[in-house]
Amino acid sequence: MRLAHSDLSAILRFLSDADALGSEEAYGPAVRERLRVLIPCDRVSYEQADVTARRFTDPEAQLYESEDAVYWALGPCSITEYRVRTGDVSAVRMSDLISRRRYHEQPLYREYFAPSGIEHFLELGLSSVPASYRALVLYRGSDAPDFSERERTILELLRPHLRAREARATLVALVAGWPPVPEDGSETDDLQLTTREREIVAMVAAGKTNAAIASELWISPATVKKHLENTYLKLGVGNRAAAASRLRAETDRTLA
Amino acid sequence: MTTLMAATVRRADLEAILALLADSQEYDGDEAYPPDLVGRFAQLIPAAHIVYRENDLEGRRTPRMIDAAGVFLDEADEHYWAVGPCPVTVYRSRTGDLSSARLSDVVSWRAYRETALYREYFRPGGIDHLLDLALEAGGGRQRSVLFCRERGDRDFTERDRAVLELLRPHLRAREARADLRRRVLATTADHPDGLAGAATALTPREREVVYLAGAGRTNAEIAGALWISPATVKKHLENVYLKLGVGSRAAAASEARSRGSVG
Repeated sequence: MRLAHSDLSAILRFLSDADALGSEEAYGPAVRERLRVLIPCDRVSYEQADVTARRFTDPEAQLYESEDAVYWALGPCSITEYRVRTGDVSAVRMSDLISRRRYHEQPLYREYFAPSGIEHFLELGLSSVPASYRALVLYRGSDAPDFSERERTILELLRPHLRAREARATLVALVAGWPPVPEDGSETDDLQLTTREREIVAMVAAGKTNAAIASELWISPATVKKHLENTYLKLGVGNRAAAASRLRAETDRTLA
Repeated sequence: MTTLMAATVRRADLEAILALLADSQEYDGDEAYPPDLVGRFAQLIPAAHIVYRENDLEGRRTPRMIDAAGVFLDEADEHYWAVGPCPVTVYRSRTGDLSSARLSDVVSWRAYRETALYREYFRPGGIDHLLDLALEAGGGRQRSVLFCRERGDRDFTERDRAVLELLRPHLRAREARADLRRRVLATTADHPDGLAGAATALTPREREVVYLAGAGRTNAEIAGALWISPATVKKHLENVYLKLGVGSRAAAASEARSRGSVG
C-alpha cells in the first residue's frame, strides 16, 4: 500500500520524537503514548509472554496478574496462535485472521475482551517463538472503527526503527551494568597494537620523524601517518608523544 | 550474538558504538551512508580504507560506491570486475550468509595470494586484509560496508566482527529512515502545492537551529548554544527537512536562505 506524504512525514516526526525520549527503554510509556498519536487507539502495550507456560513475562505483567489468569484460562488469542503456528511476525489485525462472527463466539472475547471494552486489535509481532513471544499491541473499543490497511502499513514500517531502539537500549543497559573501569587503567593491558604499529611507536619514542620512519621501513610517509592515527585511536591519545609514553608504560608494567 | 559479544567485546567498545550512534545523527539525511559517516567508521574499527559498495553481480558492475572522499555513481571499476569478484562476495552468493566476515574466514591465504584478484588488484593497492559487513539486498545485487587494511597491518579480529554485528540493526534503521525521507521528498515533488503555506513556515527556534547548522555547528554545539538537548536539535532539524522538502542539513540551510527564512 502506498502511503501519502502526510503519513510518511508523521512517521518521521514520530521517529525523531522517540529519539528525543531517550534510549534507556525501547518501549517505555512515553514512546507508547507517542505511538498513540501516530495511530490513534485506546491503548498501546508491549507484551512479552511464555506461551508454553501460559503466562505474561513483561515488566508490567504483575500489575494485571488476576486478569491475566482469565486470559490464559481462555486464550491465547487468535493472533498469538497464528504467529506460533506460522512463525509470521508481520503486523496483523484480529480481523485479518478470524471472521467477526467467530471472534464474537470465542469465550476469550465474551468473557475477557468484551467486558474490558476491547474490540479491535492491531499487533506488530516482534518474536513468534513460544517461550519468548513478544509483540506491540494496539487496542480499540467497539465504538471505534477497526484499524485500517493504511495503519497496518504504518506500524509495519516502524519495525526496523523499533529493532534499533531495542538494540540501543540493550547497549545502554550493558554499559550501565558493566563493572567500572579500574582506576589504574589495567583494562588497557592488552593494547592490541599490530607489530607494525608497535615498531612505529617505538621509533617515534626514539625521536624519529615520519619521513625518517617511512624510509627506514620502506613505506610511504602517508602510511606512517595512517598507522599513527590508528595507534592514537587504539590508545585513546591525541599525539605522538602521548602514544610513545603509553606504550612505554605498558612495557614497564609487562616487565615488572 | 550475545555469546560472540561476551567473548570479545569490552565496555569501551560498547561506549564507542553508542558514541558513533550519537554522532551519526549529524549525518542524518536522505543518504544512509554519507561520506562523513563512512569516514567516521574508522574510529570504531581502524582501517586504511572503508567503502560502502553496491555490486551488480550479473551486470558485473558497481552502480554505487561511497567512501570518505565522496559518492561515486556507476563507476565501471573494470579493473576489479576483470579479476573479481572477491572471495567474500563469492562466498555470500553461494551461502546467502550475511554475517560479517573477513577475507581470512572464507579463503586460505595461500589460495588467495595465487588469485588474479590479489595479484592484479589488491596487491598493487597494498591491501591484504578485508572485513565485510553485508547488508540486505535483492535481485542479483550485493551491498556491504567493506573495511580494508594494508600489508603489514594486523588482520581484523573477532572483536571487530562482533562490533560490526552490533552495528547492524542501527544501519538497517538508518537505511529505513533515509528511505522514508526520500519517499517524502518524492511525494512532495508530486504535489508541489500539497503543503499549505503555514505548514512550511519555520518557527523562530527552527530558524535559529538551521542558521547554526548552516554555519557548520554540530548538533551538540547547537544544543549547548541554545540550552536544549541534542535530541531536541535533531527533532527541530527533522521538522525543518519536512517543511522545506530537503534531505540534509546543508540543503536545509541553503533552502532556508533562499526563502529568506534565515539571514
